[in-house]
Amino acid sequence: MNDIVTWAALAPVLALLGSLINGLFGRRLKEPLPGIIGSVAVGAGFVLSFIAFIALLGRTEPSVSLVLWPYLNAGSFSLELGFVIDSLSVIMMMIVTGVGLLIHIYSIGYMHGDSGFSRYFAGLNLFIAAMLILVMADSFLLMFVGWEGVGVVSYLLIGFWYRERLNADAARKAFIVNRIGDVGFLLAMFLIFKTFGTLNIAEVNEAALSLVFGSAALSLIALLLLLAATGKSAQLPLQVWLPDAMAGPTPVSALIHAATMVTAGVYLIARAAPLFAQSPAAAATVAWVGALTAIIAAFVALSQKDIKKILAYSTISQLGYMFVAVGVGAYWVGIFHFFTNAFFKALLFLTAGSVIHALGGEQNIDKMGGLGKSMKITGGTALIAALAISGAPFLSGFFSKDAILSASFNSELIAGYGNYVIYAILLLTAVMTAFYMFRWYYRVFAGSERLDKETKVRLHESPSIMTVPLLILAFFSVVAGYIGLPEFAFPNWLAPWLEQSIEAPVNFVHRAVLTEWLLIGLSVLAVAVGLGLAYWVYHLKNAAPLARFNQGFLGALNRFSQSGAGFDGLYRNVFINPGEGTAGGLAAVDKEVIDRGIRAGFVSVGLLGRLLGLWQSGYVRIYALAMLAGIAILVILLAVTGVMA
Amino acid sequence: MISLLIFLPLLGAALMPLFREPKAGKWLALLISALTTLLSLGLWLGYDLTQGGFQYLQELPWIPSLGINYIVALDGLSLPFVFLTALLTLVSVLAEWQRDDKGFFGMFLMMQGALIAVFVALDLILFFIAFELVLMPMFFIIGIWGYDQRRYAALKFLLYSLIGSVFLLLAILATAFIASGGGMISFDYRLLLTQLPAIAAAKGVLLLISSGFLVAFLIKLPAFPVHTWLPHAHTQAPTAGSILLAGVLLKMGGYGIIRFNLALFPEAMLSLQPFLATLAVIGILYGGYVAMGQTDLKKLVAYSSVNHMGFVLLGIASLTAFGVGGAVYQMVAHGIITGLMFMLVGMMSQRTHTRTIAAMKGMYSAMPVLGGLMWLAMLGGAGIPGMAGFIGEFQALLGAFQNPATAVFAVLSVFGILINGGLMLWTIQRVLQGEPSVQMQENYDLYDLKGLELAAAAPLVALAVLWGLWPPSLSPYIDRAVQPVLELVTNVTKVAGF
Repeated sequence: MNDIVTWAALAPVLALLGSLINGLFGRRLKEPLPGIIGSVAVGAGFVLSFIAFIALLGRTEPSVSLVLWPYLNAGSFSLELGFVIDSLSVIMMMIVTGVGLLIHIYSIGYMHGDSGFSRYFAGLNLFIAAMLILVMADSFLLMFVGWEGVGVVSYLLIGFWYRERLNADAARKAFIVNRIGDVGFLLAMFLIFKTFGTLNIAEVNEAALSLVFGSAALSLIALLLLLAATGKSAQLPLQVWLPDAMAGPTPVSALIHAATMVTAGVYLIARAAPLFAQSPAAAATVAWVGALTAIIAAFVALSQKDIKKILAYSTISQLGYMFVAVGVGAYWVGIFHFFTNAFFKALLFLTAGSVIHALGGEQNIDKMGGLGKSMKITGGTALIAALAISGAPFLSGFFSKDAILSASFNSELIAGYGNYVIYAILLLTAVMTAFYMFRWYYRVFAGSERLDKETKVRLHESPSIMTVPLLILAFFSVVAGYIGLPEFAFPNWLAPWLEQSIEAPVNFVHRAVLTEWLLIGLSVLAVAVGLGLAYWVYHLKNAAPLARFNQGFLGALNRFSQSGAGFDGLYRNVFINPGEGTAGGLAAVDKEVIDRGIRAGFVSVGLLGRLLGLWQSGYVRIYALAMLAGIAILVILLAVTGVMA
Repeated sequence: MISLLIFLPLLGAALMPLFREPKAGKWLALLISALTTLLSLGLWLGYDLTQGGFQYLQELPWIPSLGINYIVALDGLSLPFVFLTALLTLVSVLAEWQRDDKGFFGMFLMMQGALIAVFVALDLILFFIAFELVLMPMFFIIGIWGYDQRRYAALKFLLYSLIGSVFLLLAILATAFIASGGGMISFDYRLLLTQLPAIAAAKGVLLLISSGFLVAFLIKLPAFPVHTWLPHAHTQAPTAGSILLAGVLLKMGGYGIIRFNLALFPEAMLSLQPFLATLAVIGILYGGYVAMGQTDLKKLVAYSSVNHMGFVLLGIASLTAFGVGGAVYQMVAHGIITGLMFMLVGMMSQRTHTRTIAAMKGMYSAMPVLGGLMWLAMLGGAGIPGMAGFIGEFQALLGAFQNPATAVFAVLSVFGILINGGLMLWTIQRVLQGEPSVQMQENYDLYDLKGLELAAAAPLVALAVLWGLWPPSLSPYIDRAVQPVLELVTNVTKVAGF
């Protein structure tokens, strides 16, 4: 512990401690004490992470490992648990604890008066601890521990208001769908262990680089890891749990289901970059999964009416962008978009939470409108966030999204796998993003008020404990992009920093500067088109296009979009209903067939059969006596023969 | 010292009838089980890990002319089980504190002594007698203190076990006979270990004998399709009976397979590998699915044991250090976690007067501590990392995947974690989440855990977490004992040129 960087390893311990205090004694603590304990625990973690970051800044090799204790022990093999704090994980740690801290503070206001106040903070702190373990892990196994840990906490917090059946359903769905991904993670680990004889990430990465380019084992491992990533990051075909996960308290959605946990899949792929960089087929699959998810989720977001569901689908869509980034080999860009997304996406959710809070639980955007007038800070910060996520020039989302578009256009890794098509899909998605985000903004904050009378009376701006975090997040939503400016013309700090930890040989085509500018121009145009359309339809309140959404082909498309593109219905019919039938059926089989069959087999064993026939009339003590006698006879027999011999 | 662990409880059981006061039973049981727990913990801490092997050996002639002797000792394989037996008895006594029944606690002490004898016996006849002696108290516990269908359940338990015992006895006799090679017969396990590899018996004969052991142990485990005694025994047994049944009795099966089948008949084990792996996968997938279809909460937990024991069998069948070690770890973890689960289910049904899942709901909001612990136990049962169940399952799967002969079975079994997760979460949702029904709230007193109940649950919770986060406190002991056994298997593969 001489190195100041290793002190950051205390961050998860502190969060765990906070969770324990709130979990065990929270009931006896008065509000807002549990919230303060939780915030302090996370805040201290942020300070430690920040110090570690500063300390790493000046080093030629910004990586510190810390070995904890052995976890698996078999024969000569032993796997030690350990943390690695390097340029990649320290960024993740700062976001997790930093954004986490803001959301903890915000929650003190948001959860005010809830009977589960301390339970809530116990959960939130536990989440931070698990997420930190996930990003700091030096082995796939420890990462899996954190991975499952965040899954469990996510499950607990989605079902936080557990008395409602729907919330419990949503929580269970999230856990099970995530577990499908976990099956992939486990299988990947088994295969990694078989191939490389270790589960240490650094060792695997190094060994992967010496393996044959595109070998079958590598591709299979990469695809299994992708399965894991799609589960956690809500990508096709496992995206179905995230919209339902909005059943949890809104700050939870902001922290877990928007800013941090759902990006774990992206982080996993970036961490294991050499595995993907060495296997173009798997990498292209990642990119395609991302691109298709991005556009389908954006399509669904166009028509949703729940203020949080729109944001949930936009999260899925933005995660799709990140998947494209790590798929095409631009690993630092994936982390870059995670970085900017963490601010504006958390901000979007927190403003939504502020609105829901003010309206006493209302989530339907048809019953909102014009809220910007009475909720100036919430409305103003929401506008900034909407602009940032849409990719409006000079805001954070613009730089990170543009980096993804440019990387997919220039990727050599997946050059043979339709990278230009992916680029086009993302460009179109950018138009849709701007459109649905401003539909969201106009329907909630601008235009006429469509509130119920009762709600109108209660309408108020949220207390400053909630608005101050909004302002801080808004600030970063504006400036966060400047650490990763386009490399062809500007200084870029983030790329070389991250590439010290992500050593994967991936090449990109270097285009003429004019082409690069042209690409940027296209991105700007996409935003402008989407924004303009939304302005025309929802702000100028041109009735004609709105009416058309309910008729004919557009109407059908609208309904398809509202249904979440039909995935839930499909899964219910194909997996869930037959699955429930199987369980009941097999229970009957076990009782009627297996049990009877074995009994029949026993009955045919003569004497025992007769005994069995007695079970209804027989006396327990008779059997007991018989057995005792049996044992006694055996013992006597042995003793007697012994004596005689 | 080990003999004290066996005979102290047996002595207690024998003294039980002498007391006139019914309350004295539980006090005596508490005293003795607390002593054995401390003693077994002391033996564990005193075990010399660097030296390994059998320690605290005690050897007394019994019937030397027949080669039957009283030999007991502890190694890394038996230590955790001896401790588990002692601890779970102690915890059971606490959980059943409201009972003022000497006979009941007398049976428990007797079972404790017999169970410990099973795990420390190094003479096969001694092992057999202990193995049989366990049956009687459990038979009475289910048959006398159980629920309405107790007789049927007790008898079923007894008959299934006895059928296994017939095979076990024959197999033991045959083993000793064959190993003697016409010379002096001996049931000394250590002697058999050295004799058996040297004798020139036909492969088929050894396979047959090995199968005799296996039948008894697979019924105990239980493995598909001879598992159907378990749900009945569990639903009818009183809470403490279920705790020991799931916590320790089932483990005699897995312990036996490793101690006898694997160590004495490694070659036969190799031939049986695909068979065992198949049974394991069926246990995992089928057991999990059948559990989901249950309407009785206790039966559901019982079937989930079939699923968990499937991982044990898979690990053993892998014949790898990871797998076999994982199997033992899984057995210990299951003893702790499922023992806890049965205890909590018992406390819950005592308050609600039902075990029907549909009739319970909202138990968490009614009883936050009881509900919260149940939640934890269920998540532990689902094998989440951070609790002991994960390590065993993970190692068993990893080991099975390592061995090409069982890799396919491992891949199939991974889906068990999906079923298992679904099972536990669905149960949580139906039993714990929501609001308790009006009828339940009005008719019954849903009071939360009280002091003694909490004291009973606390050590189990602590161990489930300790062995989930800090395996060095357990796995090196297991590994130390598993290594030599696996060397025997590798020797066979080398000779046979596998």
